[in-house]
Amino acid sequence: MISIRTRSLFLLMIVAVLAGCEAPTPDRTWTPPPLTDDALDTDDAREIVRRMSDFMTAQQGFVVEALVTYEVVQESGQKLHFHLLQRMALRKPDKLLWVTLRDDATVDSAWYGDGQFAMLKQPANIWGQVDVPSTIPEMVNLLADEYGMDVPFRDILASDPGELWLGDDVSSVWYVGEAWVEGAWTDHIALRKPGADFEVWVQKGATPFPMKMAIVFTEEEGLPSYVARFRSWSTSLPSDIRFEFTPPPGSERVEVVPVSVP
Amino acid sequence: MKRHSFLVIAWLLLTLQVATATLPTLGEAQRAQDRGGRSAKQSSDVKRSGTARSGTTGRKTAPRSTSPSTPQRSPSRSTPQRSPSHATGRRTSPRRTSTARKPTRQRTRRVHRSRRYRRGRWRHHRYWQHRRWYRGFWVGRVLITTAAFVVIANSSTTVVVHSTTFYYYNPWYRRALYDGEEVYVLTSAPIGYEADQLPDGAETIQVEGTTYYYADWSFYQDAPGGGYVVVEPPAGAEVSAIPEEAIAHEEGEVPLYQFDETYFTKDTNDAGREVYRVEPQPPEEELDAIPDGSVSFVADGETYYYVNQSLYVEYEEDGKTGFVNGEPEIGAQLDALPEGTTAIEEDGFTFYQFDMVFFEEVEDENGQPFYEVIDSPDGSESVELSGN
Repeated sequence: MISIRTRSLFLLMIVAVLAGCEAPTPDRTWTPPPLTDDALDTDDAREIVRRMSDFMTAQQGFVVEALVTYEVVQESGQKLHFHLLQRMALRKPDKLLWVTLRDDATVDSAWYGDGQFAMLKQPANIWGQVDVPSTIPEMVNLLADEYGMDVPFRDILASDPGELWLGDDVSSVWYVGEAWVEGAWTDHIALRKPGADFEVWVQKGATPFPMKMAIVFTEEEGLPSYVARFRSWSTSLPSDIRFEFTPPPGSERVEVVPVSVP
Repeated sequence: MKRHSFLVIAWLLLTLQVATATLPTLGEAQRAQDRGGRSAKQSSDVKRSGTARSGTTGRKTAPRSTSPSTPQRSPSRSTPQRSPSHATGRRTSPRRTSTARKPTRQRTRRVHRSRRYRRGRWRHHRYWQHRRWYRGFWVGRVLITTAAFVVIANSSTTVVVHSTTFYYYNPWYRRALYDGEEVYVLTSAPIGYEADQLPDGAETIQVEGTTYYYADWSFYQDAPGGGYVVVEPPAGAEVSAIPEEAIAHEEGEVPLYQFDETYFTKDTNDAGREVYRVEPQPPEEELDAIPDGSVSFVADGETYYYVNQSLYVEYEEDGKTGFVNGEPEIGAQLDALPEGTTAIEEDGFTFYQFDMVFFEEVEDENGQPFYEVIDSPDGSESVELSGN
């Protein structure tokens, strides 16, 4: 004989289970809408890249998040994969910040503004600061060339991204097809240039954000690759965003050592 | 039996929940296809199969931060190419806004000189004569440190000086950012650090009658209370070796070696032994303001200020005013010499020296005297002045 208490318990379980059987909220990532023709639809790869470049250049600011996977080829030839979660905010002409969460749980935060670049590394709690040029493209080049620091997605930050992707050194630009990436229909473009096979997935429609980038470094041993998936693009910056660096309490300033002597 | 029925019903319901939580999402995607939307375009020659392999053999095993055995890592760059229009952004020639016109007075006398300046007089300054060539270098000089990257054991001695932590790990290291990573760089001992004993292999050096000891790439003196204290490198000190990691700067006429914030030149001493000589600190590349009371003079309409044994000229860029290290060019003309100029008589010729700038007096067509910047009277250089 089942006691009333046990029955009540089962009834509660059944109610809970039935409540859980409610139809799940549709996830856009899993439900690609049908493609429709529109005026911007084209399969001209160069035009798509140019449109993305013009669109990104025209934005006065943006925030974006990216999940990056990159390969590292060991001396044995074995490839290892590492991941980064990155957030970036840009306000033209001269404000930039980004945060990189690595898969070893270290966090790099970087600020750029007023001709100064600062990087904070946690949990080491150290930071360095250097004078840099007052324009973003020049700052990006200086950090890369003299300090070996890679500003994320530097080609998007270039003064003319299209020139990087469609310049004379690009040997082929290929329209691969349409692809569903991070909840958006995109045009998949493949480019080849010396040292790199490059792919970009450009969101279709009026906001041609790059939704994904993939690079294979063709002149490096083992052909390591790099893939970035973008999400949460926005051209309006949060009001609480701060581009000024303030050293955290107890942090130590350290020297930023150039990788090349001028 | 009834108890079993309840359990079966509960199990069925649970199964149903799992199934409905999964299938509709996949089904939704399928239905989206079925609704008649056009399918994604694909080039016929796109090969898609067999490229994605899942499954890993484990986590990474190599250290990833400060160890020299860090596996080769691909930089997280987005393209390997750098813009061909790369610019470092550093000012290489300040845009000066002075509108003063260069004087056009003509010389009326010919001077021909060829003589050797006494070498010792500017011995410790000769490298800074070429400071324009070091322009980019001086901008970042305090940042340049050659590095040996090591893992520092937890047992190392740490000393904090002015918020910087020094680690004694035979010899000294401190943290830095290199290639965007946290590393430890070889460094000199912190100034003011006191030790009971000198490190092994210390060499004794005399500089202008004062005794120093050189060890662990650092200079020590006897401490007043006994023991030894780390001091600033004395200019003119000659040591037998510098770290392999010292950076060689070849821009000037003589290579300059930098370790930490100390600069050396390589030379042969009187005993025929190869030595490295400590050179004075280079001047600051730029100043935001000129201290009150600084000596100044005007050459070719531009005002030069003398600060910390260096000359600075005003510039304006992006609406901001600053002062950049620089000297008047050869041939620049002055109405008056700066205060503190020394007259030097040699071979019957009088010239004037202010720091490392040399002048001579000339006359214009009306017989009015003025001064002109001349080349350094170093070595066999000669200055041919045209005119009647």
